[in-house]
Amino acid sequence: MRVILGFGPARGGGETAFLGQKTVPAYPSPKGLQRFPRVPAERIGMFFSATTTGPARASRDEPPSSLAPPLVEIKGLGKAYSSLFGQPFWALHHLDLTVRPGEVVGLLGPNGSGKSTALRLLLGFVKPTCGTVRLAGYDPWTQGALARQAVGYLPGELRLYENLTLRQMARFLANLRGQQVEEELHVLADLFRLPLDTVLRNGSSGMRRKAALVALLIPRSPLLVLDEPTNTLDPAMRNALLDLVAQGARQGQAILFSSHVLEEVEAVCHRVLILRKGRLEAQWEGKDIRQGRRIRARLYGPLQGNPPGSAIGDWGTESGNLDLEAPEFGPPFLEWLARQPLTDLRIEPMGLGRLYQAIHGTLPTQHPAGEPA
Amino acid sequence: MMAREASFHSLGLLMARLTRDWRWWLVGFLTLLGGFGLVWCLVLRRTLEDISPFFRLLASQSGLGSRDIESVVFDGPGKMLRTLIGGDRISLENAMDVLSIALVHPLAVGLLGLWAIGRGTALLGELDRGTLELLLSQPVSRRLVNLSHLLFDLATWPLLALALSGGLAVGAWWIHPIREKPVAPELLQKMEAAKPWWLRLGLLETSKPTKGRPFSERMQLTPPDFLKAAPAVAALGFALSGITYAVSSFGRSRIQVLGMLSAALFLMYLGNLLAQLYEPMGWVRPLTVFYYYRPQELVLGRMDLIALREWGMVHPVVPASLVLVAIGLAGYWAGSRQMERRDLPVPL
Repeated sequence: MRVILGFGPARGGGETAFLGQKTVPAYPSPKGLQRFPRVPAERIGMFFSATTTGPARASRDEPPSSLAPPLVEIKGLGKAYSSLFGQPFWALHHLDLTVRPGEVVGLLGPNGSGKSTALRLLLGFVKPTCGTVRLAGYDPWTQGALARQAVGYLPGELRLYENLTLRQMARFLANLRGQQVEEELHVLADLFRLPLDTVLRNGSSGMRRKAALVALLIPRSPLLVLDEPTNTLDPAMRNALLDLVAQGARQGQAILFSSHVLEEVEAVCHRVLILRKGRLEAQWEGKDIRQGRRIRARLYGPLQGNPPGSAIGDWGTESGNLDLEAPEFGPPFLEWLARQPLTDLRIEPMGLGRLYQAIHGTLPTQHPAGEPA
Repeated sequence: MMAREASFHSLGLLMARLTRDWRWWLVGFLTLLGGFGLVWCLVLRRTLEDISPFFRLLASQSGLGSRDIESVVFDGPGKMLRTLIGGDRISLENAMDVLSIALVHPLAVGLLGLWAIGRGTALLGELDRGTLELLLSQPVSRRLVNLSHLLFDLATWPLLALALSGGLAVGAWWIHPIREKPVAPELLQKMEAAKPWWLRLGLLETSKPTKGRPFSERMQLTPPDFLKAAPAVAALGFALSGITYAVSSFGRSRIQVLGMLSAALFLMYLGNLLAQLYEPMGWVRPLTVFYYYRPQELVLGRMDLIALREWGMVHPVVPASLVLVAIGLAGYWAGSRQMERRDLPVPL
């Protein structure tokens, strides 16, 4: 199937962005704004297939192969900053993490939770206080150059050679990896609507962010480390980026992704880690997050049996209201619901937001199944 | 083998980037240093051709020698001036001596210090801006980045040194030969009129010819000799940038380190100067990098040997420029070691 990537006039006069196999609504472009040239998706696909080691996968819920050697292996990783007076400050406590080819792993947490520290440890920018890190089999602290051969990194706070043009910067960074960039550079510059020969200093923050993305994508690294990558991107570009991430994962690229935006993590990640005060508080599979549902119903009679699985919430019958969250929503749950004396029923995706809130203490208390709140 | 080739390739790219980033600054500093050397010669030409004969005339009329005049001028507070121009070894009667003052002139040393501080803190600047993080997220080792800065400095300091000494050489070639201009007749008439009547009658003769080598010999210039100072100038610059590199590798903010280093280098310069004026403080001098900077010795055909006499030592006698190179290498070694071991802080 030939798939067209880019913006183009759709039937009915509006605009639609086609990206991969998915059609996403495009934001109306202002008059006079240059439109995306159409770029065949197979040309974009080449950014993800050339050097990746894992098998291509069909969907985001399909788990990556556990046989492929992990690109990232973190065991008991911790970082403490000493202080002259008092206890050392632990920015990260004993983190364990493995990322395999084709896997998109999201790191979530508020400011100061240790996300960036974890990524900086992974890249060898800071020395671990305890634990080990292996990046493509190498220790990034002692074998940084070898380890980073496998990684592309987009920092949270964008820093570029602003005295260079995109073409010059991309060439320089790719040449450091022993690569030539011309074709890829043109394709991606077209995709992101970027001028190649404008000095980056003269561009907008969005343009610079896109330029950083282009420089990141060109080397086709097996692992991408993205620290809040959608900062300052407009919605259309954010969607395009998330689709590129998903497409990269399907082609076998591993992606480690930190963000404050729950929806985008939920949309693309196979696994989500929640950090809080430097500790790993929770870890969920993406399919579980997407599988979870919040159920609100009104009952005209007593509840017929307890809900299956590990439901959370309030199913006291005195009020005649049912309000619960089912992380493992599926056919058994539907069968259980069908047996209930319902007058009204509302089922909505539970989402990552509720789980995230639970970690930060704003979710209703969990009760053992069957006990009223 | 492949890894080594890749390293050489990356090193070349890093060097090319440094050259690109610094090229206009380099051109500017080369022009300033070369221009300073040239202008110094042109300015000093008038001093040597017009003013020097006048002072010699004054000296001869009063029965004193040029050395006597110099000792009066450079006594007391004037000793600082003597120290600034290179110490007792420099004679204002000799054109080569006078022109070589440019090499230790505060402006020239200031320019060298400015470049050294700029270059020495360059990596810290990259850390500030975050471009170091961008660079180190590529398959490039910190050692290679340090090495590229060291090599760049090793390549640029000789250029800067050649610019200064070359500027002097060209200037000297330009003004050569220096011809003594006769004192203006009006001035001679005035001097004659100002004499007491018994001197005018010639009853008492005080005028006597100045001693020493003839004028033409003292004004003899050998322009290529200024190029001999280039190693000392380059060595001073290398030492300064090595020190700044070492200090900045511990820093967090370039602005802070720039301020601190500027103050430290100025204090070193001042310390070396004042310690020459006040002998009990002489032990301070070997602690300052400027003590080891002796380009005039090289220009004037002597060796720049030192033996730390201020510390009561007679041996070993070593070339001062070599000490400067050693200081520079030690600075780069310490700085590189620290840069390889430190945590990279989040860019400011």
